[in-house]
Amino acid sequence: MKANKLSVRKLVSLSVLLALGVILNIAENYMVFIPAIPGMKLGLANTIGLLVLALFGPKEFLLIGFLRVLLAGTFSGFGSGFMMAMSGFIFSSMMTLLLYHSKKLSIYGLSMMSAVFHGVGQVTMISILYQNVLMFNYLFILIFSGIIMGLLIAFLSKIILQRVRFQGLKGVNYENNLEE
Amino acid sequence: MKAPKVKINKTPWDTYTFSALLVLASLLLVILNSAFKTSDPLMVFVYVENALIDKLDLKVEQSKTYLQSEYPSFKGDITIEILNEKVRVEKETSPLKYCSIQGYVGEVARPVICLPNAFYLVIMGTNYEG
Repeated sequence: MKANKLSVRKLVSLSVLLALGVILNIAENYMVFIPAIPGMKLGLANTIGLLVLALFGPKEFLLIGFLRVLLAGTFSGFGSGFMMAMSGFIFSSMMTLLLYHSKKLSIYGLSMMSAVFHGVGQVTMISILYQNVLMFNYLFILIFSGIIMGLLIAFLSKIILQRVRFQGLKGVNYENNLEE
Repeated sequence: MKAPKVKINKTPWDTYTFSALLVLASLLLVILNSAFKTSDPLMVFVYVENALIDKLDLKVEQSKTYLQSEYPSFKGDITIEILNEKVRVEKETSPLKYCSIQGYVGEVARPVICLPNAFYLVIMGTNYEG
């Protein structure tokens, strides 16, 4: 009975995080930070990914990330934009999980690498779609922006983990020695 | 197998990763800049669905419209403008209008991509065979 109660709490928490992720994903499409770099985004939806990894673990991180991209696709269409988002998700989540299991990087390093590899995935997909390697010219811009945005997102995720009380969730998956 | 816990506080490996990424991006910038350097006269190469449809002289100031009736992948007519040896997508139809927001581009090999229209253009030397 107790186990069921915990499962419901986990399910509700994951559903809320997924909904937030989808909303942030769609909202971000309408925000242009630097017009000269159209693919550059803050990546607020990645905060949700990092929170899920820190609160629940790698399986939930993959599941919520995949569903977020899929659900955002149902709202904005399954065209080339969706293919780029999916490719970015596959590259970034694989890299994040690989580095997470290496136990070397903190949330900052994971977020940076995730943002950078999201860009790598997107550029790879667009190069395949348009069969032109010139698209890789965007890569250095996306690496620079990925470093900055990744650090910002990690900082934001850390603040959320510090400020919001997640003790109700069993199996919290982060080292609970937060600096105040 | 128990999943490892996420470290919340910065580790030395974060700094190494940060430095490595900065070096990689800088190297990439230098390599790409030297790889696409050209002394040939510059042209604007216009592509639809991977096929080259037009080549325009970057020195000639002009506006040109590509019609939806001729290119089924378009969501509307697309107008490009060349001014002061720079090119931009002046008008297009897409949900987010990224490529027209991007504005003028004068750099060689920096594509302007209109994803929903399967349209892109890029400035290259005359002898480019893309």
